[in-house]
Amino acid sequence: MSAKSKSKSPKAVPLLCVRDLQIEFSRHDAEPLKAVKGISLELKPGESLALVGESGSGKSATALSFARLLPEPPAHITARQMTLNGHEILEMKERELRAIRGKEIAYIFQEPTTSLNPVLTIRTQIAEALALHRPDVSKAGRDDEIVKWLDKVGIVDSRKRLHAYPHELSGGMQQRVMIAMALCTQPKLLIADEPTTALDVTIQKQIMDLLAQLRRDLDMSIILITHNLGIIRSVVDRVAVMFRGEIVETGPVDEVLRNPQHAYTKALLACVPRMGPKQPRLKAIDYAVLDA
Amino acid sequence: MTSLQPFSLPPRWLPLRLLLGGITAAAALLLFFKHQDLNALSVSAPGLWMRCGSSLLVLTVALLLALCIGVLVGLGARCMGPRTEMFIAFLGRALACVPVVVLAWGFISGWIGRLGWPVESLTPAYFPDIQDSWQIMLARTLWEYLAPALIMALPLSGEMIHAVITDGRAVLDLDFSLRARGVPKASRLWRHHLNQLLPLLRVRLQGLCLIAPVYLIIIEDALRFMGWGGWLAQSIRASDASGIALGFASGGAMLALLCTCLQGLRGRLKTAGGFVATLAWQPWLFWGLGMLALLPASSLLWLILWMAVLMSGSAGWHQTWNKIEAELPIDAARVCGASELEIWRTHIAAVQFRMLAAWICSLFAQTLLGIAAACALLPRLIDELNEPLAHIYRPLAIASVHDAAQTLADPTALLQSGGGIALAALCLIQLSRIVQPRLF
Repeated sequence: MSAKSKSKSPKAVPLLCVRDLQIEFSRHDAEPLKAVKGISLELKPGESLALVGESGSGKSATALSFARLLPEPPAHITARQMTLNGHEILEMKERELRAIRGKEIAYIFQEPTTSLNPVLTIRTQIAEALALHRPDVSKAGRDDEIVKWLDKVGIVDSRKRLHAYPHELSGGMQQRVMIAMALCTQPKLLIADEPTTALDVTIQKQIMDLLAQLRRDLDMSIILITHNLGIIRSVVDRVAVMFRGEIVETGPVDEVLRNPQHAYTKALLACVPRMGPKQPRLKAIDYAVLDA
Repeated sequence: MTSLQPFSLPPRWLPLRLLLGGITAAAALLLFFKHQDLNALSVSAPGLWMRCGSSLLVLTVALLLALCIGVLVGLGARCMGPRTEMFIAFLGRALACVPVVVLAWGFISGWIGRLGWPVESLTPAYFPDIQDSWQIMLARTLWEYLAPALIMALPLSGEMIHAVITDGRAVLDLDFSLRARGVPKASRLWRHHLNQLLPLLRVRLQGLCLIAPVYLIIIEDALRFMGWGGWLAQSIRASDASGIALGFASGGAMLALLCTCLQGLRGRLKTAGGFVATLAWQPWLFWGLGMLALLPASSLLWLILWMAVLMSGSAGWHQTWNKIEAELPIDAARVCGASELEIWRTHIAAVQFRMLAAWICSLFAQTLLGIAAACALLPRLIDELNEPLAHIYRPLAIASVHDAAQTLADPTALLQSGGGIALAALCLIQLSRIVQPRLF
């Protein structure tokens, strides 16, 4: 059964269920900043969702709040419901949160160079994730497990690369290592926060293809955060468009891309460059129209 | 005093350079003072190598203690938030600014004067050979080495606390991504953060090694410890050129050995090229004190000390300026067709002026502490200072039994003088930190 067909089963219990999520950041010299204003979303096992929007629209804050990664204070997170596998996230203690971070919800961030420890080999860093979240993998079997995951993410000569330091790998390779590190714990939900922004265009394509393939192979849920509508079609089932802390449009990815309803979605799509003769000029978003 | 300078990378083959530097300084000293009786070198230092071994042990224990204290306090402060961290870094700097002679005599006067314990309690007991079991020997050795190592560790700990906190801000902050992976706080701190810090701390420790001979001489002299420093203090007081030259050479060898051992610490950083780093990474203050002992008294003598301080900090300031200059946003002005003079006036001059002001403040702070070290070893130099300064520095010169008895009976003058110097140095260094331009 493919991931897409499985996700559409009406009886599937939601993996992640968020109702009326609000995130505020307290400020010294001003009123609290409302970054997220009461959004609701649901993600079934095996389903994938793209959170799309411009910088500052609240998509990263939303995704980070799923594992309570935002520093509280200054962040203040409230929701009527925010459950992962039926467990209320907002009521979890730090120890419980630590158990789900990396194990249930894994993150891949934009810049791999700021996520990998430059003085530890990639073997040490992936082995740490295994030691923390995969007690079933023995110490002796860790190297084989690491090599297996490095192979899966397309790192050639993976056994030789075990003892490489991050600076010895290219940006694309580092991001693959980050993906291997995130996936080796077999998380139920992978959150990729603009995983290709720091990479050049050809590597972007490779990484997005890799995510799509891994999603098919491992049958896990993915939340992809991006400001680029052009790259989501191959990876996700649904898309939620965020604007100024609210979800302004949500639906199946093909439908939203083909027939956008909200003015902001239309404006975002108009910004995506297209190949071919006689393409219209790219338009900047007209905020006056959106405010009206 | 390394906390008073910006971080600098050492040159390649540092141990070899230190060894050669020591030998060259010794040879230059002998040539300059036309001291050609090389036989005097061997007779002036009976058992010198044994003394070197003792001092090396003291220095190693002190450095390890300082490293442990610095890491424990610095990383502990990191857990308590940025404000506490800044305050503890300030306390570390303050501790590093206290003249070593004040710490040494403060310790002795506290031990004997305040606690009322006999002088003999500071010296290890000797029993007849028959009772000299290994346990007694071990206890005696421990007791003998512990006091100088502990006093030595104090200023070094201040330096290391400051280094752990300030260098901790320079390394990559992985806390967020590690939290996202579910890595516990202890592991984030002790495994990831410390591992990143270690290469920087190794360089800091090597930098401390360059200043350590001066501390060693003052502390061993105060405690009458039978080590290299105690012997060299006598040579300096006696203005013995051959003894001082031998001290330079043996000091170079000791530092080379220590820096070689420190290379064993985990992690490598790239080395610095150029003659500035080569020159700066030498024990200039130690050499300066040796020179001061041999030259006739004159107010110009302080120039030597000032030059020594200038040389020892030059690499840090040079490397920092190079980094800042490389990041100055001057390309846009150049593209707009601005002349080099206009670019300098608009974009560089203000930063350069701030850098210069910071350097001067730091230089003054170090000179104040350098004068304290010089006055502790060479009381005759106090007469070359102007009266207000001489009044401040006089309590630090404890050369005779009478001075020692007076200090032990009432250490107030010593503590007031040391506190005043430390406060002045600390104010200058804070001012230097305020005006110093930051990297973009």
